[in-house]
Amino acid sequence: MEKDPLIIAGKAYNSRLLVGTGKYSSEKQALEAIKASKSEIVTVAIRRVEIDSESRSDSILNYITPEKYKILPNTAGCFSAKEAIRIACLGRELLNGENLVKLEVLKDKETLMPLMEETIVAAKELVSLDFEVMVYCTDEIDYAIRLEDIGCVAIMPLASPIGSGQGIINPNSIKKIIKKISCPVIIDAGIGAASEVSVAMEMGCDGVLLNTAIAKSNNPVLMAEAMRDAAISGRKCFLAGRIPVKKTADPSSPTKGIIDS
Amino acid sequence: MTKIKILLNGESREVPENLSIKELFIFLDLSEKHCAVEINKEIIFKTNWDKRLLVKEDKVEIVRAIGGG
Repeated sequence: MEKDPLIIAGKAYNSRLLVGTGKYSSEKQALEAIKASKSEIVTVAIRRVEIDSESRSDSILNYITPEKYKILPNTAGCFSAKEAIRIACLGRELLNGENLVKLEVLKDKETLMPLMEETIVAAKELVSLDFEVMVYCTDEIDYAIRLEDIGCVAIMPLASPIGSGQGIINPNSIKKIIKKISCPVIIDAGIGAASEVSVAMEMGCDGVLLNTAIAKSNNPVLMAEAMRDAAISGRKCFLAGRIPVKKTADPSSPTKGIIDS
Repeated sequence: MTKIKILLNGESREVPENLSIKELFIFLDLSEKHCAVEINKEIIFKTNWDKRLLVKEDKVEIVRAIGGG
């Protein structure tokens, strides 16, 4: 297949699968699974350093290095625009000025659904501060359009609630977003199985971002491979163009030349 | 040595007077690599870590990247 890069903010990536680095049982497991996923963009969270040296854990950037991966700091855990902007700025500082950020502002700790009004406020401010904003959002078309108009570099609607593994709940809403939005549309959150990654890509999504589905599977390395293959397979299916669905059967073999009974 | 009280990552802590941020890392035996520092909600850029001295009641946040989605 000819080269078919995913282009975000002018930079080309070979992999259309983006992965998170949370919820793994060890650093080693995280590193092996992320390697197996062949992802180039990986998300990280920004948190306080443990001050007491006994309880201190290393920065994840010591083994998932900015030299090898495009590190995408996530504003996960923020419930207001103000908090998200603060975290984004700290993330940029610790990554020596990297402008790419995943903006996520949540409604509450129970549903983990995006709080869209605050997300929009934060997106505007971050764009004005020269951030390249990849924005986590609901699957509502009006919000997606507003976020693209603001200048976000990727629109990332959820498939279903974070960590739920319910797959794509509203495929028609996602299809509408894909149709209307010109920047990359990346499904973010809710994926449970490889088939769902494939379905997202077959619909025409530009990429899929997932974390729990790999990290919490029984075999993260194997699942990372499955997700990687599903993204590739789904993308090829989209590019090749599937046949239309028919109401009736249509034989695969010629009807002419059948021998008499 | 005179000590001052600061709020470090949400906890009250005593540190020597006139400590720069750079020296705070040494004092805490903490590697500077991949860290960001905020004092009183204002980011202190790495280039200023040796210039900014801690004063009493400073609210200091030291953050780094960890695994996340």
